[in-house]
Amino acid sequence: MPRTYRQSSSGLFVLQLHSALLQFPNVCFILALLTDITYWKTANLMWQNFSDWLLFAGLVVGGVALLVGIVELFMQRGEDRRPYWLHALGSLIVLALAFWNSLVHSADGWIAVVPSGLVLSAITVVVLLITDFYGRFIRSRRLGHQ
Amino acid sequence: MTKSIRFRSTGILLLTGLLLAGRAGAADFDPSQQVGPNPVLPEPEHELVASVKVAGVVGWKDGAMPTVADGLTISAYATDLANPRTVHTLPNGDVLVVQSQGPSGEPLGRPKDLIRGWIMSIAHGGGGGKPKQSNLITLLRDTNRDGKVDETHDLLTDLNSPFGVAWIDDTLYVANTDAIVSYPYKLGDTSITAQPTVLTQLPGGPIDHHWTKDLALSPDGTKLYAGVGSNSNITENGLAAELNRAAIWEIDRKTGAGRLYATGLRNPNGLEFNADTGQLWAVVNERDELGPNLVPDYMTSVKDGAFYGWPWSYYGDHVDVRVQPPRPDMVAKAIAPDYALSSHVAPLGMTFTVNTAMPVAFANGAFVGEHGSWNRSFYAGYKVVYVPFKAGAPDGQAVDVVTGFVEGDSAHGRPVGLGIDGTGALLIADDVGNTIWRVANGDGTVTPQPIGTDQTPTGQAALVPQPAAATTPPAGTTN
Repeated sequence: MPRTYRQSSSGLFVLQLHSALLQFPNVCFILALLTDITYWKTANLMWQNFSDWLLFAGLVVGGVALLVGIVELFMQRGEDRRPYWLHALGSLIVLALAFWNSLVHSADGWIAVVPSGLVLSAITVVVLLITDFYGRFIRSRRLGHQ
Repeated sequence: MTKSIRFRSTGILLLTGLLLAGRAGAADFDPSQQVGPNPVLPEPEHELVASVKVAGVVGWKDGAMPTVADGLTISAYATDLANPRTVHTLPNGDVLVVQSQGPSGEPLGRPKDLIRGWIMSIAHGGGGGKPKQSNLITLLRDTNRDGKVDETHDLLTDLNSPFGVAWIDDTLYVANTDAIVSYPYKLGDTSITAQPTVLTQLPGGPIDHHWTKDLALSPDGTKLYAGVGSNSNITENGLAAELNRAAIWEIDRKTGAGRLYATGLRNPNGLEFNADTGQLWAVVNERDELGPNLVPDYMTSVKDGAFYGWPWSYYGDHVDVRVQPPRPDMVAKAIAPDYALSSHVAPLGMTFTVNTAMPVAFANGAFVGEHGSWNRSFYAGYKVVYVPFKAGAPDGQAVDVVTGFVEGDSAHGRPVGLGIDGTGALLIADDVGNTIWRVANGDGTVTPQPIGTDQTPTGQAALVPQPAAATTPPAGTTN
């Protein structure tokens, strides 16, 4: 028997808001990896400052995106919510890594990036890519249900 | 999916393990190992979140005062000042109190600057009441040499974050944060109306991280020495911002021409010439964020042309890996300072005690004012210590002389600049308690005549302290 699903307009708004906000931290954290690599290669402090602000901005908007996503989760009825919780967990891990990374980046000079900041930036990007692709996968599967 | 989750968890555990390993140790370190000529220097720690302990400011209420060592007495010499930073005694015994606030407008560089600004506002916060307008120099006059101020005059106002002063040949030199300026000033005058003349520009804003410019006059009166602190903790504003900074400048008094006398001194203050050797001395604040037990701040004789390491190394060849690219050639040139004062005590003032009225236990050495800082899990500094000297060099362990600036988690005050008043007693500028403290010999001894801060007497035999009963009024203070 096919599952019935009713999408309210407010639910659609939250879904779209989450999806729009989510791009912001992803772009920030990917750029932070690139600026970290550039700092590692040039020792020009401008690049470290770029990374520092990118992590900061990504964390602020990423935190809002996660909250909106969790609200969205509670608004969805009549279907298996486990995949979405898994996606939320992935997002939480990305933010935790980025927060840790921003503490590392707040050090002065070379050790703010090389090596631990750079490694954390790379791990953050790997986890966010996996989380992001998984999120796209479950969303397209759900749209397929409708 | 499950596989990727497991991969993530393993990664997190691995990284957490690395983090914990990095934070272990150094909790039971004895700070006294870092006082003296050969401090113990542990391995640098790169803490994820630096240990911080901030004392909120409560001020001095209900007659509360710092405590002093045996044989000394303390009294409030002047109160209700506006962030007094340094004291300077003129040859007639008048005391100049330089009151200042750091320049505002250091441009925002990183997210961390927002947090740092907030912590500093707690540590410097006012102890109640609307703060008086700062950036002025006030003259305190003790006409009958009884250790109490009889007259107070504001000499100069609206200065640009002044710190050091010097006086010679009817000229008062003031080291603002961006320039040394001079004013015609005769001893005994109680006002200055002349416009300042710029002797030389000093590195100032817009960053101006370490903004205090201390001054000393050479014993022959021809040169001025100015301390110029670094523009960052450890070059995080770029090396270009450090041009001519972290150095002591030598400036010709007649022409204003300057040169770098010594370099690699992160934040030098308390500049004073030693009477025994004729050498310039300074106290220096070393770098932060290498753990609670690095790097010890120090006092040192300052050798002409010497390089003391900052930013590339500390205490000689201890390389700071945070500064890239490395400069092994500079590390090879770096020399170690004379005497460590322990980490994060933040010395900002120093004065020698030869020819003062101090008791024998404190009569040949230096007092050091330790402002204290929040870069440790306990309160380091926040006191005045005495370092005994012998033949112009430190000889023995530093002892606490004036304490009680911190009580529990509250700061009554913080000592900055030190000086000797016209009667041979120690003066302490307390920049958050807004007080000048006078620490005198408990038996009432005073010096036979005032000695100016800039005077480095050579005929010491003529200046033996004598009992209070035999005092005579000083010349030049009648009015």
